[in-house]
Amino acid sequence: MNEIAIYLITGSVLFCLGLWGVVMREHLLHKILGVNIMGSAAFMLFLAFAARAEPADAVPHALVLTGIVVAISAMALALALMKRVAKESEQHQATLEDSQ
Amino acid sequence: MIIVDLLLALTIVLVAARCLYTSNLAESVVMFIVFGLLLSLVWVRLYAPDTALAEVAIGAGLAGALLLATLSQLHLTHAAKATAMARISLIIPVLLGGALGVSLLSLVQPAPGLSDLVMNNITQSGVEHPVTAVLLNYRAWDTALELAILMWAWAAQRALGPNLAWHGVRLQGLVLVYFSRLMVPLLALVAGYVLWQGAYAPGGAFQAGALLATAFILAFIVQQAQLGQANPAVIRRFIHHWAVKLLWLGGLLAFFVVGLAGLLLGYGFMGYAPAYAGALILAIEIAATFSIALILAALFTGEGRRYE
Repeated sequence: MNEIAIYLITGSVLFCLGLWGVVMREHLLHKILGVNIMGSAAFMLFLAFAARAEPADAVPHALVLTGIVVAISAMALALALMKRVAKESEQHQATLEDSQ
Repeated sequence: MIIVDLLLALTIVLVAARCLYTSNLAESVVMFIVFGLLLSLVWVRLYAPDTALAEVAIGAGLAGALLLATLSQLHLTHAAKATAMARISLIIPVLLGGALGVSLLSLVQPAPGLSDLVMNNITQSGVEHPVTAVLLNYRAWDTALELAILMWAWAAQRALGPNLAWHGVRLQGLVLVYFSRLMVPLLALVAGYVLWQGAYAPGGAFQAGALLATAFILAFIVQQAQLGQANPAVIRRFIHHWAVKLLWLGGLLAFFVVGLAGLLLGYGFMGYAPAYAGALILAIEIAATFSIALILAALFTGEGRRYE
């Protein structure tokens, strides 16, 4: 067991946890955070595989760097959508039921 | 060091679970910020200092600011409690993820990936740091389109209509003012250093842009709290000045101007002449830094609406 193995398992667990959040939690903020955790887990797998090379492979590093910026833009848009749902709904609870 | 890795992995899983499980949204957000910080430690352990820098500035810092600002605009910050079934079902992702992870273990063996290709051509790329070479030379396309995605997200956020009112607390006292006076110049200085450093060490346009965006956001908060001494009319004129709007688009424009010039000179689209690659990359990086900083700050301050 080296650190790559540890982080491969951690990444897989985090991905499934994020998916659990997206599926099982009702509030849209939890779903957004869940998607972001899934994304971070994918980055973790990428970087763990990149660390197999000596020195670490630069291509996945660059891809993850791009991915972090794309993830924050997606998150900003998702939060704006959520605020809109909360504003339009009557109970001011940002859940999927409210958006109908 | 294996103990550090194990502790880090365990903590990060617990923090992520708590972030999704708790019904208190404020706690969720704080847990997510902690998650981002722990993640940057993981990136350091995986020999990826560039991504660690970006994660700590963007994934923990800017995302945290964005989430906290959103939280202040929601009426209710409590979600429904997780049901007993949901609580029990939390075991499923842990087991399933663990099983998936174990199935990946057969892949843990030395694999060179693309690092040989990267290192063999690095002398022609114009920079010495492999990650910067990939970002701005080999895969410049990806970086250009990523700037386009940032623009797109900003435009889409703006299309959602006027934001809810800014519910930031009008902070009293001088701590924020003194802090920002100290931090804003320091952030600008560090951003410049990180940008310059990117040619031969971890750093570059993304990290520098995120640092600069933090400086903008800090200045914005001071101004919103009506603690700043600048005249709002002057700031409004400054923000809507055509030169600032050009900087906004600068990253994309620089990429496509340089890309088309490469096409005309016969190096292919987004190809650089090896002799000038270093200078061209620096020019693109400077333009991209300002674009990234302005757009990231606008995502926080509310879709670039009129300064009020």
